[in-house]
Amino acid sequence: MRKWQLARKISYIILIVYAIVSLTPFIWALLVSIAPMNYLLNGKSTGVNIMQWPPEINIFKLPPEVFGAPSTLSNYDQVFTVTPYARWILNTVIYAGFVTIGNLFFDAMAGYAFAKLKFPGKDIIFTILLGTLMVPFPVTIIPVYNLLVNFNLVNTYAGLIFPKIASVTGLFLMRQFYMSVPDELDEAAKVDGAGIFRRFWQIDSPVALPAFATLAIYTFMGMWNDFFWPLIVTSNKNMFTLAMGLNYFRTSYYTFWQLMMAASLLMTIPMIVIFLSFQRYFVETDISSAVKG
Amino acid sequence: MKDFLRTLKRSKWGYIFVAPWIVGFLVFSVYPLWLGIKMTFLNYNLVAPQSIKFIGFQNWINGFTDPLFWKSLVNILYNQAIFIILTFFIALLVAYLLFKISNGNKFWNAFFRSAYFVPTITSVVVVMLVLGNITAPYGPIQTLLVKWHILTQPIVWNLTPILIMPVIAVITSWMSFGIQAIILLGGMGTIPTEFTEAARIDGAKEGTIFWRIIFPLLRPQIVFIMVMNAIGGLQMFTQVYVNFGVTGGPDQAGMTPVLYIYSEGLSKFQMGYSSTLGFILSILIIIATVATLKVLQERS
Repeated sequence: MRKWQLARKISYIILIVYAIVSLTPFIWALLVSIAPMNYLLNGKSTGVNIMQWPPEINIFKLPPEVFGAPSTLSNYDQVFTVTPYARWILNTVIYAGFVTIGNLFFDAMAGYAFAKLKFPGKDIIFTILLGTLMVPFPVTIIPVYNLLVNFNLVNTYAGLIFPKIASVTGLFLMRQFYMSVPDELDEAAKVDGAGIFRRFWQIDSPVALPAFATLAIYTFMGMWNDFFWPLIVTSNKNMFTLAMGLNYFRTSYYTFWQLMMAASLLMTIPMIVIFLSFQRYFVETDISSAVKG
Repeated sequence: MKDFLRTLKRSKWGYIFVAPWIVGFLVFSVYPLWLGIKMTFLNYNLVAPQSIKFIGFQNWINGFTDPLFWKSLVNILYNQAIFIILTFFIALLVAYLLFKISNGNKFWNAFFRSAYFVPTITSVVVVMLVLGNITAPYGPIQTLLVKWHILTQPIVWNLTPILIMPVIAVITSWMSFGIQAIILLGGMGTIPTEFTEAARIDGAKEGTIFWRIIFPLLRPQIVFIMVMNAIGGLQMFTQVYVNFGVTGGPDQAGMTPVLYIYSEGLSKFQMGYSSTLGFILSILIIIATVATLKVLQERS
C-alpha cells in the first residue's frame, strides 16, 4: 500500500509539472503585456528588459511591478489606437458568427433529411458528400481563390463566409444525432398532424440540442482562430481578422512585444471563457465518445 | 408517370433540405476541382492573363522534379517525425496518469484537464508568437539554460536551419498533447475494469498491464490520432508562415509544401503550377492516410 501511495504522489507531481508547462506561457504573456514600453523619461531611457528570467515581480506595490518597472494597462489601450483592433474584432465576430450560424442551419437541415426523410438517391448523395472529406484541402486553395477573384469576392465578408458556410463533418455529426432520436417520436408527431418544419424544429431538434451546442462551439472556435482562410481572402487591413492582425505588431526591425502579447491575450480570453463555460462539451463526453472503433 | 410524380411529391422535402448542399457541392467542390485540373495543364499567371497557354504535362513534370518542393516534403517529414513521437508519448503518459488518479480528488482532475486543454484552444498564431518570445535568444528559457551552463551562448533558432523544424515540432507538440491525451483518456475509460483487475489479481505488474492490456485496447483512438496527424501534419502552414513569411526561412529549412503552394500561387500568382503542386501534395496525403490505416489495422 505504501508503494501505491508513492506512485500516486509521483503521478500528481508529473501532472502538476505538465500543467505548469501548459499554463506558464500565458502567464508570461500577461507579464510582458503589462510591462511598460521603453520610453524616454526626463531625457533618460527607461530600459525595461522584458526578457529577463526570473521576471522581477513585486506585487506589494501599487501598481505591482513587473520586470522592475511599474506595471501598466496602457498597452491594451495602445493596441486599439495603433491598429484598427476594434474593427478586427468585429470582422472576426462576423466571420466566426455567420459561419457558425450557417453551419448550424445547413448541417442540421441536411442532417435531419439524411437521418429521417426518405427520398430516392439519398444514400448516393450522402456517400458523395462524405467522399469530399477525402479530398485534401490543398487541391482547392488555388481554384477557389481564382473563383473568388472572378466573382470580385476578395476582401469581402461574403468571400470569407460563403465557402465555409457548411461542413461535411458537421453534417455527419448532426445526422448521427438525429439518427439516435427514436423514429416513434417522429411518427407520433406525424400522426398528430405535425408538419415537416414542426417535426424538424420542435420535436427532433430539441432532442439533438447537445449536438447543436457541440457543433456551434467547435465551429466558432475554429473560425475565431482560423488564419489560413482570412489570409487568402483578405489583403486590406480593414478586412483582417484578429489572427491576421497579430503580425502587425512586428516590423522587419522591431517587434512590439508588449502590444503583441496584449493583443494575443485579448484574442485568447474569449476562447478560454467559452471553453470554461462549456467544458463538458470538450473534456468529458463528445470527443472521446465520437472515436469508437 | 403518376407513380413518379407521387414519389417526387412525397420526397420533395428531402430534396429541399438537401438542395443547398448540392449547390454548395457543385460550386465549392466539383467546379474548383475541374478548374484545378484544367489549370494544371496551363501556364497561367493571374496578373498576366493574356499570356495563358496550354503546356501539356509540363507543370506536372516540373512539380515532380522541383528540388524545392521535395525539400519542403523532407522538411515536413523531419518535423512530423519529431512531433508525432514526442506528442504521442507525452499524451500517453499524461492520459495514463490522469486515468490512474481519476477516482481521486475531483478538483485536481478537472484542473488538469482544463490546463492541458487551454493550449489547444489557442490560435496557432498566438502560440507561435508567445512561444517565439519565450524561446527568443535572450528570452527566459535561453537565459536559464545559459545561467545553468547548458548553453554557452544563446541560439537564434529561427536562423539556424537544422533547429527550425525541431523547435516548431516541440512548440506544436506543446499545443496539441492535451487533446491527444483527452482522446486517449476517453479510450481508457471504455476499457472494462474486469480486464485490468483480473490481471492484477493474477499478479501482473503495472507495466505489463499497461502495455499488454490497456495499450492494445486503445487502437481506435490511436488510429484516429495518427490519421489526423497524417492529414493535418502534412498541411502545416501557419507555424512556418508566421515565422518566415513566404520565403521559408534561412536555407528554406522552414519551407513546407502548403507554404510553397501558397508562395507560388498567391505571391507569384503562378496559378497553373501552384495548382499542380496542390494535386501532387493531395495524392501524397491520400497515400499517407491509407498507409497509416493499413499499418495500424493490420496488427489486429
